[in-house]
Amino acid sequence: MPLSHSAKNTTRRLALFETGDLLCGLDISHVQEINKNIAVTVVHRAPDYVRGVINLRGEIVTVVDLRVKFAIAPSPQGEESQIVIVRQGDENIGLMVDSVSDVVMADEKDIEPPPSNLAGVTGRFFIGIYKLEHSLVAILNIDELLAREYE
Amino acid sequence: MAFIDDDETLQAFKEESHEHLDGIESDLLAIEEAGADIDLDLVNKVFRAMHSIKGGAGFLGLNAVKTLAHAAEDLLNKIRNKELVPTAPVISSLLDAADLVNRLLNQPKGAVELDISGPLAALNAILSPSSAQTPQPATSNSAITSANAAPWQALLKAHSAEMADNRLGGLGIFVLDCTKSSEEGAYDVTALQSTLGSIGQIIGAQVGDSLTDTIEPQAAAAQQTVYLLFATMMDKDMLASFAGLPMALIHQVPEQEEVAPAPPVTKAPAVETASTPAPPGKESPPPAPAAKAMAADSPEQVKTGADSSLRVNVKILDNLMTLAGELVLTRNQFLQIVHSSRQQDFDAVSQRLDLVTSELQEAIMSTRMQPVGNVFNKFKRVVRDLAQKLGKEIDLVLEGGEVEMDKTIIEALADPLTHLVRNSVDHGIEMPDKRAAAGKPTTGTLQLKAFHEGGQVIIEIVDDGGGIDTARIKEKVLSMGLHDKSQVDAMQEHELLRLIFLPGLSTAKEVTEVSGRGVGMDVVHANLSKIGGVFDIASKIGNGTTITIKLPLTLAIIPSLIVSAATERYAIPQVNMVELVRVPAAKVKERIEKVGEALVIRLRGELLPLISLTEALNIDKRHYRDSEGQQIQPCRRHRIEDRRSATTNPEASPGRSDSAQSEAVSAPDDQQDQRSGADRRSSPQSAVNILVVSVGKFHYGLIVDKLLDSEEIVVKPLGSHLRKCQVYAGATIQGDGRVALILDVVGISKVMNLSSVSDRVRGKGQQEAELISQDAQSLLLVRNSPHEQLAIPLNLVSRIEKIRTDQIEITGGRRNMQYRGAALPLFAIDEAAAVAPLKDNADHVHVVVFPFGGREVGIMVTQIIDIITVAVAIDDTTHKQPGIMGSAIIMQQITMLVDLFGVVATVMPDWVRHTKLGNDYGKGHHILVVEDSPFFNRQICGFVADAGFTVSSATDGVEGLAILEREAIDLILTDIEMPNMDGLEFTARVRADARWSALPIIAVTSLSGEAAEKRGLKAGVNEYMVKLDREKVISAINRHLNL
Repeated sequence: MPLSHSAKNTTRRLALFETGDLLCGLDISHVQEINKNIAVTVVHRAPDYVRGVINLRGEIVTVVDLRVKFAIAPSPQGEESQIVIVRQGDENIGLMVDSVSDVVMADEKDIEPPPSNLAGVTGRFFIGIYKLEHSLVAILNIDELLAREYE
Repeated sequence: MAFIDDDETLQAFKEESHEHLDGIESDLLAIEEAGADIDLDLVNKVFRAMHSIKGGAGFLGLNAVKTLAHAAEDLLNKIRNKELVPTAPVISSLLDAADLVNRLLNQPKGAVELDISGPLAALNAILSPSSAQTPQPATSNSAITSANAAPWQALLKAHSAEMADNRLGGLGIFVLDCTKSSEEGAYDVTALQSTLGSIGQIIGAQVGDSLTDTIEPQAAAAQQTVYLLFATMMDKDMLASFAGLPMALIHQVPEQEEVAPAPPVTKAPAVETASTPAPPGKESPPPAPAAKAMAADSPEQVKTGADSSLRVNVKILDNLMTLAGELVLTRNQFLQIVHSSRQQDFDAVSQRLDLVTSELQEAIMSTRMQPVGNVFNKFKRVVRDLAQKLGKEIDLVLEGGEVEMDKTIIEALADPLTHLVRNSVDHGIEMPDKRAAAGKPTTGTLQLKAFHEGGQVIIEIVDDGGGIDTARIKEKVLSMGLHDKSQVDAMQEHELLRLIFLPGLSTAKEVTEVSGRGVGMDVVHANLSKIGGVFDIASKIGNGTTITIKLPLTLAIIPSLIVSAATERYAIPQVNMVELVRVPAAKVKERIEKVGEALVIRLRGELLPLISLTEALNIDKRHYRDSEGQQIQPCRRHRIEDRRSATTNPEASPGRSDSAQSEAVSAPDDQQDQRSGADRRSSPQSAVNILVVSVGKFHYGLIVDKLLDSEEIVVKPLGSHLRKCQVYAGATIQGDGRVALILDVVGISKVMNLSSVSDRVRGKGQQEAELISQDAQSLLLVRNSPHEQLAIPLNLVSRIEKIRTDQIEITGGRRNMQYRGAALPLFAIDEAAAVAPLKDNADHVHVVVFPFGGREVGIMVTQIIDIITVAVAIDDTTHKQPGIMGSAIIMQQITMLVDLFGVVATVMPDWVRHTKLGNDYGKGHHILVVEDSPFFNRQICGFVADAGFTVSSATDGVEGLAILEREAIDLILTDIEMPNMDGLEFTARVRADARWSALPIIAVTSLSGEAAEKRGLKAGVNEYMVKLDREKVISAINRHLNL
């Protein structure tokens, strides 16, 4: 979803969540639901960013560990984490994050393109940066983030 | 110009037409086959189908379809009137037309219509060789000839311009005679005009002599002639039914009609309008009745074999399936709760819920089941066309069309089957001349078979063509660099054949339009794998090829076995499972061996490669979930083959059991199972559970930690990120809500590179198999002292008993014991032969019980080692002595073969004389012994001669026949497994010859088992006996010679 720098004053609603030290945002239109405490079944021999699968009301949903995607150290075992269910194409995917915080209304004009020092692998995961009062929110590009890596 | 722009109607028409067209193909082919012997019913059926299509197409403005269908209909009409014989070209043109109609119907709306001129011309050429123009809708001649004299000339003249316009738009022009007849009652002209308005255009009307644009009811009532000039897409019969007018009153106005100048008629001044009476807006309401009319039409016309069926949207069925699946899961969860809470009240209700759910699920699944014949029948056309094209003659035989499978699977099968069939036709079956040269019938046979087997559906494609040349496959593979020479050389026949499924591989000499590009086969493979199908190829050069496809019955709910590995649970579909093997802790060391790096187990003589599930999945083995599934325990087990187990040293494990145990002949001593409690690693829990699974024809064993439940599970697909994992076939949700992954045994074998392992394993197994197929003997290995090994032919042994030494009584200087109510004489081998004596001071001793002279005797031994089946090369000179038949090297030790009979005979010669074995009755009778092994030959000749018979011996069937020619033989004793000519063939030959057909033939062999016996009896032997049982053989001889 490219950002349009038109004069239109559109606001987006962003769901905010934390992974490691990174505060991420995701346009709420992508978010299906947020779950906590669902048992994750490990899938061995899966790509390394796949944490496992969960049972979401009868659907088998793949859970992607964002820490692995962002190359942050894995979270210690047993710590509570939440799973943000997003829609990719015609399937649901779960993003494992550390915690979920607010939903904020973000003005388009407050969203800047990602800085150049985020370039590289992680760079393409983000659409832009949104400035909060005291922190920066990195807005996720779901399509890039969940692009299947073809071996 | 389509009046009806209604998608729904159009859709319905298309669906219906497709149904018609589906049947048309096979019907046309059947008509072709019947040839001059025209099956009227069938032709009528096709005719009606075409007619329906034509009608609906006309109604919906699908001009091209209508024209084609019309021409086809005409042709069929001729056939049913027996004016035309349905020869191949005729049928071909009809088939082409049907194809084109199909394609036209599949065209999206607004697309440029396909060109129908080709097929149309073909049809027309048959209809009337000289006709060159587009056929007009069928009209009666009278309508054309009388038109000129028709009373409505004026009407026509007045509107000739509009008529021409409408014709340009493809409409037909009709004059409807609405003159009311006083006897029949007036037509409701208003209603009529309104109806007409929705299906066409009223150009004008003529009441009496005056022209008007509409007909007023009053005018009509005035008993004047009333004519309506009408333009419509419909043709006469449809129009008639719509308008509610008899066909006789509807007159077609042909195009070339020269409208003769008619007396000018003044228009009625009252009505002067040029506008069309029926505004286009009125089109909408009629579609409903129109659609209904069409729908009402068709059921009567199309009565296929399936009565009382209805069309249901597939989406609805999918939904039902999903709901059934969810219900199954909920039921599973519910049952879990019920079982743990143990309330009897729940039981009845939960049983009922269980039952109902299962039945509901089955019923719903059966709605999705379709006969595979649906797919098979399509091939009649494919094969016919292809064979014609290539100039081959091929007979297609379809079997098992009524076998049902899930709709999705049938659909997914269509493409792969098509490809395989085309391949067979193109590359498998040879040209007629080549076939004739090879002595085959010029017409090749291609069989498509479907049948059930072991819970799966098997589809076979069998051709009697030239087979697949594995040498060429090897060449191709090597030249393409897909494998290297050593790999290829190590491959077995069926593995080489499977290589043709690799992308890019085609051993076809030329690339034809049909196949040979080497692209198709891997697509076949991929498509089949997607639906869970496995396949195999067998081929014989010159004879043909057979491709076997195994398919699961249904995709969604499958029976499976739940197993655990480390902390997780996995499900394995039952369809892949062959058997479960549990190796007790003690036997692990012996039964599980290593071939190179791979683990194997010996199962019924064959070596089976093993894969550990934890390894296959890269699971951390350091923890496991205990039986309640809750706690995670540390696991101290290491590699399976590193377990300690009892050695085969008899001193190390003295017998522990106290009571005399009776053991069956086949069970060796279980002394070795006893072990000190300190060896915890070999506790019963560390038994190894092996699941033998099948991958096509090939089996391997999967080692799992625990076997849990057998459950019906709902298969749920894994997300796209996990699709690449070859080891998983999906996932399911267990009763407790947790996810269990479903294993793909084929994937696991690939991931673990099983094929290379299995080669080595198989290589080893083959060697062994070869050994065994030669004269193999089952031998009971025993010993009295640690340094000596003895063997007793198992066939001769009745039972093995283990007794306490204090049970041995000494009577009259001889040892015996109380046994089954009688006294059993006991002997020791060292009483007859120079072998080591029984162990001193043993608490126990084993007794090998066997029959002798009508009673039972026992020979004592200290220890039973094992029972093995080996092909022995017996040396009968070195160690030969009374009581010992000979020796052989068994398990790397020189082993002496005990002659049970000889032991007793040596110790108690008197006994021998009392049996018939010693007498001379046999003198004068000549026995032929045919036996290739010198050892056995000597043995048998020996005791036959001892019994007083004259003996001749031969080493194979050829020699045997030669002796028969020379000597007068009274009875034959023959072995089965012999070189040059085996016992079965020998017997057959003997029986075939009038001189010897009544000769008693007794087969003596080391092969036992029902199958072998059946074969022998079938070949003509009188009796089938086991070798080396001296008594039995002699008594049989006596019996057959009536001594």
